[in-house]
Amino acid sequence: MVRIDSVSNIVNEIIKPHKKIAIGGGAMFLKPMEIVREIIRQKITNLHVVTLIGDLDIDLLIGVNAISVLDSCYIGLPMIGMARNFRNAIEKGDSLIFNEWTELSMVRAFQAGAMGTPAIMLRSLLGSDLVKLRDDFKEVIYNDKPYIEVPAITADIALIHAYAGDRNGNVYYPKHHALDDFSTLPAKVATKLFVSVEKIISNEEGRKLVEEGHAVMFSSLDVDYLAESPRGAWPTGFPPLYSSEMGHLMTYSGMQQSGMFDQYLEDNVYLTQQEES
Amino acid sequence: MVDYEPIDQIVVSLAREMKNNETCYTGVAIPSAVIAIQLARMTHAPDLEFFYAGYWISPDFDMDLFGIMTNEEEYKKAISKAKGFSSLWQLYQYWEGPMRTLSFGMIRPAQIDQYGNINNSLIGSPSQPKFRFPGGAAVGDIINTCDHVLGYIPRHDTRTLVEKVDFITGRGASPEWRKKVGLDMYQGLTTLVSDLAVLGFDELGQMRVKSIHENSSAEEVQENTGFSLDIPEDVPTTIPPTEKEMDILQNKVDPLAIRNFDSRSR
Repeated sequence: MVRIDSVSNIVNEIIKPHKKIAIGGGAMFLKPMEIVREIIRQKITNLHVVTLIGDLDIDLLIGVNAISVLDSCYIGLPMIGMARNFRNAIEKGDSLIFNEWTELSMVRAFQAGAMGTPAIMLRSLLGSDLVKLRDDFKEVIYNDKPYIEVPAITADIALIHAYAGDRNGNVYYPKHHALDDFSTLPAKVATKLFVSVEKIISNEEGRKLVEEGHAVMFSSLDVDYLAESPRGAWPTGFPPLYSSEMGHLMTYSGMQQSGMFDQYLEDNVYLTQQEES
Repeated sequence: MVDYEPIDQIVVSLAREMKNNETCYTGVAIPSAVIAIQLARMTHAPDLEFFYAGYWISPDFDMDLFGIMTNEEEYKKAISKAKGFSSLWQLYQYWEGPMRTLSFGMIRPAQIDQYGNINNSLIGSPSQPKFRFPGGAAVGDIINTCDHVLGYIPRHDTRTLVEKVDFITGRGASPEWRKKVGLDMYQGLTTLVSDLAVLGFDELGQMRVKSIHENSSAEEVQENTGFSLDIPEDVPTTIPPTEKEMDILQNKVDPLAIRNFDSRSR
């Protein structure tokens, strides 16, 4: 049974310290940014975050010390530059633990997690020092060939931003869509799925979307929590509904580098909540 | 004499390494790779199949390749200009599944050594890095799943080209190692283009100079490389961008000069 409520109420109820959170989206697309901002407002810390490709979401969370363990294959602001809170935290020797994967090994580990198998073998990690850093990556021989066995990824909660959700909890794609595997892969490894959507619609409107040719992204069996959040991926993009706002992301990068990270939060995270309430 | 910037030579030299009827992929985080592929497709390799941005198959966009995800109108217009559509999921299957192998993938190493080992992870010790890069993303996977790999470095210097990398994110070009682990059907990194030269690898997997750009010299290339390159006296000069290549690059493929983002980042 889906629970429909506000982003802030759901975050308050389910996101707790030490939870393992899988975040959808990647490369400045489809990030559940409003949920991320709410986690920051509620000052939740000590999260274990898993995301295939992290950008502003991860850099903000690290900037407020919300993450203690991070699994990913890339944390940066593509075309703009480094995710500097991430970089600084590691270079300064803060307590952040970063487990670096390769993109494919992480994708395979998500697949394994979704299937309920404990580990999966692949070959593309052969020769990489990333294997040496991990106790849970093992070289194994299968049919006389070397493979690297990696553990499945699972999580307590997945955070995803999507197009529309009906009252039953079915979540629909926009008619045109791309890059959604950035979200569907992590969504399927978590015990609980929390989806923020551009709009909540009636069940009748949901049926109409199906008739019009919209595909279902998650069914009512998958979704546990649903919240409405128009432009909830902003400033990352939601193709083709809205673009990644490069100007905003450049401003963020500039403010971060000139010691104005707190001011950025004030203007774009804390202030927005006051306006709404 | 055609006017061009060092990044233009990089893009043009990369494009010339691409062949008609090959199939390739690259991510949008390395813009010059995307631009080089489109340049090749608009010059000598019209049938180069290109898996773009996790969705588009061989898009025929003659401008604003990077704005394509920006709004529904542009997106709808672009739909008529692509050969087909796929998904990230399918791309990930190409990286080890049975359906197909990509002819080449593209990378931009943050640090690379004489054996083509690539470090996009960190400088210093893994437990306390002096410098943390964003992470390798698919670098380690591409090097071990595509027929071969083309790479580029916007700035040829001794920080980037080192004798031995601090950390191996992706294993280089060593044919011996590839044979040992049964990955010798893939060549690894075959060509690396910098702002000074086009580099390749010999049969032992050791980096060699294929050609030196017209505005550089053997001395400059060696001086800015952290290991000996044994540059032969008769090393060829890279053919500079032609008028036609520059015209297509500036007016069709990359009128917004997004390739310049590459010359700024490391």
